Amino acid sequence: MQNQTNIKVWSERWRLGALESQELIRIGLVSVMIGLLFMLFHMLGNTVENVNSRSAFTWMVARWGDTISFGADYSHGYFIPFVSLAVLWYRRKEIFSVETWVDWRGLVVVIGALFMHWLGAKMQQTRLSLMSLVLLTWGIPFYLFGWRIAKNLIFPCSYLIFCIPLNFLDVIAFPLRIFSTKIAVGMLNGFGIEAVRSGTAILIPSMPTGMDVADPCSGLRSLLAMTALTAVYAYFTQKTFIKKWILFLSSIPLAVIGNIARIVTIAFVSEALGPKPALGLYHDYSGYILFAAAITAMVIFGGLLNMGFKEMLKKWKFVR
Amino acid sequence: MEIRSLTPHLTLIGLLVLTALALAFTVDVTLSDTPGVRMELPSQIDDWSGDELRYSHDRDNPKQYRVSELELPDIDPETGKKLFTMSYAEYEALPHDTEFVKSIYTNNTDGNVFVSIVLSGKERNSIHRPQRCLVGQGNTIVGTERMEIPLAGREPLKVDVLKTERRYRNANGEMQTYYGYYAYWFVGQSRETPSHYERMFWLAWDRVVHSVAHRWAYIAVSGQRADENSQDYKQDMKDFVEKLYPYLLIDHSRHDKS
Repeated sequence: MQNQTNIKVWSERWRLGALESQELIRIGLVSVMIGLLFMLFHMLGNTVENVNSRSAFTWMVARWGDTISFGADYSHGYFIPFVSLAVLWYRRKEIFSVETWVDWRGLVVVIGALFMHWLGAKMQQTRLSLMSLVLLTWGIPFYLFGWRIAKNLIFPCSYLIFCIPLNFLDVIAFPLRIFSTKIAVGMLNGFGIEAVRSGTAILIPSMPTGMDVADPCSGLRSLLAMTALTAVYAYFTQKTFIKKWILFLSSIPLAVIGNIARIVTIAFVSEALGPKPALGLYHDYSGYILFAAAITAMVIFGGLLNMGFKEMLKKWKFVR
Repeated sequence: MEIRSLTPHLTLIGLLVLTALALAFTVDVTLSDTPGVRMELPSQIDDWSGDELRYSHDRDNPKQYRVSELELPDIDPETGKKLFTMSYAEYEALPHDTEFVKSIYTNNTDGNVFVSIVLSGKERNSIHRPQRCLVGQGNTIVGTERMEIPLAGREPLKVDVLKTERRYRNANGEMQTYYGYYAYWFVGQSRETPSHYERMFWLAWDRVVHSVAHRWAYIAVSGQRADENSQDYKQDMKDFVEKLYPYLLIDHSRHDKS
């Protein structure tokens, strides 16, 4: 509580312009650091010339906006920094209330991150540079304020990794497509619809030319978005570290199940109303419905994880 | 004022300044201009006749020409404008110092084999995994296989072969499927690999350790599979690459064991 009071006093003094010279110098030095970080990553951050910029940020945003091939899978990148900031704001009292000290282990992290950035620039691997920026956003407070602050910053800082376009993940797109197609065909046959798989296409009576499960329908996009969403939901709702991870990892089957449900329901709509509305209106908008269903499933599963099963069992025995 | 209490801040500023200097003065690399392969394709390989390709960069009416159709090899006969060795999409997407050679080979059985060599410039991203651009062009990759092609006097050449499918509408408006294969490998300075990740490792190694960016070549041989389950293309592809390979060699990239 003492620290919280100190923060309030400090913010009042800041508002009244009554800070000590030592504090003003520290603010000045932190501003210089922010300026240098800006220079490192915006002016010297990217050695790949195809975006005509030395900025790692410009490179990253260009990847988010890329609608060709796999770029569109990362369009959720725009939201990630805001989620991180919101987490910081939500936990601000906790963060400001912990004891602080200079921790030399943080300096090791900073040196490692700066070397990683240099390596990324030399190798023309801007992703590596962006990883180093994530590490720096954690390592600098770790060095200046100690482990307790760093511990509180692990989640909001590591969450920024969802911003970084890891295009090599596209290697799982095709296996995902095949898997989803096989399961969907099995389910359709189970429902009495005569479905046949041809590669990644599904042939059904109403669509004899086939409904192709193309790359954007592989489920990779919903998988990436679901993992990003579940990470923050699990962080806020689950009490233990293990439960947070269980809920986070559950996002993978949830996204895949959502994708399979979408393929199956497209086939249903085609059988009921014909291929045109199925591949048109329903195809275009069903993604939102099933994403909402996947989120509902995530919330339900999160609720189940939080239930005190032992106590419920005791009560149940007592009533009997 | 206690300077000691400001030491951590000053230490960080010092480190950031040092890194800025390192980034400004030490990350540039020297471009080694020597490719590991010849940047020309022969006009005849055994019974295969080759015809180089040229592209117009007219965005409204992009066209592909065979050089044998052209009076002047680099001039568009319709517009009189310059023709290029790469399509406009490739020109736009890749660094401008990327070089291309493309040819179509035909034989007396009406078989078609498309060969391309892409030579990287200073940029790492002159060359990227075919999995990206093939999919971007509307193909579906339905399988990947590593094959070994026996070559005289050296260890077999390893190539990665992608089986592709592309659905298209024919002239009658009916949907059809093109079944294709796409074999590729990369050649650097005395290094050869079909693995994208191995190439990336050597690229990074040469950049970081030797401050040199070598011009890697990406060689692709592609053609048609008779149908979804056909295996015949494998032997045909192997035979073709075996014949093509000696034409691509330059002395310093030879891997003769003899």
